[in-house]
Amino acid sequence: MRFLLSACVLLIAAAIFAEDRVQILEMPDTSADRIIFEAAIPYPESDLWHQGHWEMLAQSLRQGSQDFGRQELRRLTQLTGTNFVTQANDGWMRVQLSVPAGEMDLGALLMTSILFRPSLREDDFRLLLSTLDDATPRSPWEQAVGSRRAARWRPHFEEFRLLYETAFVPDQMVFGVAGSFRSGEGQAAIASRLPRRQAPRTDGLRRTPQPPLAPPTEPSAFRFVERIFPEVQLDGAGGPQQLLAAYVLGAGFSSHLTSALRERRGLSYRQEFLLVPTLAGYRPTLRAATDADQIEADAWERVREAVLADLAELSDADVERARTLLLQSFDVAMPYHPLMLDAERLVSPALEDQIALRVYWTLTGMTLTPEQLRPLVENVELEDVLEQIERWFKPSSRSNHNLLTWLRGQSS
Amino acid sequence: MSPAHPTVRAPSLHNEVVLTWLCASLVLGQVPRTPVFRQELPNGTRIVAHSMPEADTFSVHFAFRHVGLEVNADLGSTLHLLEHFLARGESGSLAAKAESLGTWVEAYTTREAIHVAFTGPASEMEAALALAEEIGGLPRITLDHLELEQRIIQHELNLIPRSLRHVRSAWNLIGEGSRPDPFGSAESIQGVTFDDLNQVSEQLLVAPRVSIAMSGPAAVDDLAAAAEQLATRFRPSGEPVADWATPEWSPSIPPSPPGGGLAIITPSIGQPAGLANLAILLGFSLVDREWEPIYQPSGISSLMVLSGGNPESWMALQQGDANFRAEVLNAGYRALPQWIASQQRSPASDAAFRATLMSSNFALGPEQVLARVDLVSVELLSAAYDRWRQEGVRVRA
Repeated sequence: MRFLLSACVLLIAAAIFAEDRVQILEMPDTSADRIIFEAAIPYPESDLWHQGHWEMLAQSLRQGSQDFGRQELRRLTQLTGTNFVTQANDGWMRVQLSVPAGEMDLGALLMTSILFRPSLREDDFRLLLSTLDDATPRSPWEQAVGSRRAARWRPHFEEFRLLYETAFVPDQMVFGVAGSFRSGEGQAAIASRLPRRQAPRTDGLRRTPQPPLAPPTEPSAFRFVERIFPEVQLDGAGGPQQLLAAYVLGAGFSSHLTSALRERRGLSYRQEFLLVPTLAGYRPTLRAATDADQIEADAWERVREAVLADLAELSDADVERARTLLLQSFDVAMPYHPLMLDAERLVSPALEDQIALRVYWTLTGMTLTPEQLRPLVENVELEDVLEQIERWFKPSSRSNHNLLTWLRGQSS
Repeated sequence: MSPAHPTVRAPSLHNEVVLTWLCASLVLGQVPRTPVFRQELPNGTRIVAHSMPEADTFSVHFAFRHVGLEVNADLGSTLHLLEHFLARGESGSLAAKAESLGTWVEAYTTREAIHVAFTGPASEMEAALALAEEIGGLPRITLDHLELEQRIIQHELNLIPRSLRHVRSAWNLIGEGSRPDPFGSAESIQGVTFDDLNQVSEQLLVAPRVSIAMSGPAAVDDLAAAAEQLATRFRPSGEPVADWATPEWSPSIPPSPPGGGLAIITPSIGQPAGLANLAILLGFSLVDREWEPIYQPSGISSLMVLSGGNPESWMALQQGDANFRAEVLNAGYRALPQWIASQQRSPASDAAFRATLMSSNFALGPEQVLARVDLVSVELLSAAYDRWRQEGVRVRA
């Protein structure tokens, strides 16, 4: 019900703000006690050099702006009891903050100040860089995932600033405002504060021949398997089939992956099949931690064989269960499902996530609404799902054994 | 705002927002009421029901209090295995059945209880409650099942996050080594036998050790009746159920560098001093988001651990930086009521919070905790900050 209501409100109010081609979505909800501001910033370069700078930039935005010092920024963005989000993803970044209801001007000011007037001081930059050397992962799993993500390059400050100026241009970005306000107020508040800025002309950013920071070493107590597959366009040909196949593989404790790896064979404790949002669409990603005494290729082979060997066990009931969980992902906060909001978080029905999801979909040109996805998913059958899983897992499938390899391939 | 906060002020903007909300609520007659029913049943099971008419989900949360169990085997390892089997339900296939309805089961173990929660959309509550009757029963366990589960837990032990390893370390350092490590060790997990499982389940799955919290969009009487029905499967116990002993306090150890953590045992959050410590913990995590706050509450005492953090934050804490201190106090003061309110934002978090508190202190619920927030004075906050700084126990993963 909440989902339907949100969708209706959005249809009425989400006309894209056309001035200067800036896209500002609105999702008014008068019952909310807060106003949420979201921004998505694309940057289509995904090689290691850019990825390292991109992650650094996401952290630097937290260091304060020319209008608000770091402490003041922290204080004002915590009025609703949450921290603001700056998350680097593959090919895009998201920023989100919230303010109490009635503070539209403050929220718009904070958001535009963070995005367009960040302090980006060299001292802060160097301090942040030094902390990267000391950063310790929160868990062995995070350490393993991190070792496959961008090896962090040591950026030069000038290049770092140039990356910022190239990427943070209003008409390349998508904005969203959700929560307690009247239709049109969110667009007006953001639009009136946008700078008229063009991307500088460059022949591409200079790539300093600096050695990268040593990538985090993978924990030795287990073998981490990661496999990524070609991006999925949810509104493209085969999109709904791939979406449902991902849920059959990765949703809940009764998912096919959990059943094949953990419940039947005891090969792992944690195994995931995720749809990770990138600028090119959702990237299907398999992750599992299994026995340490294998080389990676063998570990992947065991995973692949287990998934395929048990395909015959899949029934219409499994597909129905996955469909139920999929359709519910937009309405109920579930702990285990594949649809990710960004590189670290799963989608939930919270207003914060719904506006973020719509902003990301707009950024990537997805034209459907969650509501329009429903009938498409309902037409998918067991055979479609089996076909898709076989396509992903057959020996000759086009996949990459980890993201690092893929990124290197992109940059060569 | 309480007049007891002369120097640590919430920002004026926040004051205005809160006051506006309170005034509007009073004028409109919308001061929230929480219809809560709490009872200790004749068989000893504690139940609490909370009607949340606006919610679109429900949750039923079981807490099986393991305090004071006396067994021959390694208790932590046995409890860990038992938790995995309880999550499978009596049929052994509870997860698949639950997920077919769009609902789901989660289980975890704390230093006080094994928790099993069943959550889902409100539209499926009736069907889900029928399935919830499986919780508290064990599936048929063969040797193959036992070995498979032992292998799975071996994998799990490799993935324990740093923060929980800090919690584990804190138990040992703060005189709580006698309490079971809920993860167990790789060696001891392998040693658990059928007899061990039987011995622990015989003692644990009895009515006086069970707390059931139900939260959802139904009348409180209906929720209470459903909880009561779920309680009937547990038999009374002839043995008295032991309580925690007062934890021993620890020597003072300076704060830890990054990669380590800081731990303290505090009074229950049913007391203002306990709440002040929680506020400081929240304040730390808001000032440096690399700090992970771990809070294991109970009605008797709370274990709080600050894990991770940036070097500059540790340095500011260690050197007594006044600005840093003020920032932590302010952030914690603002965050405390919001954090308590956030525990009641969904039936899942509400039921978990209620079951956790009630499991060790029958009279304690979120309402009682919230009512004490105004007693958290600036003096208490300052004392709590200093205690974290001076008496926090350094823990390592």
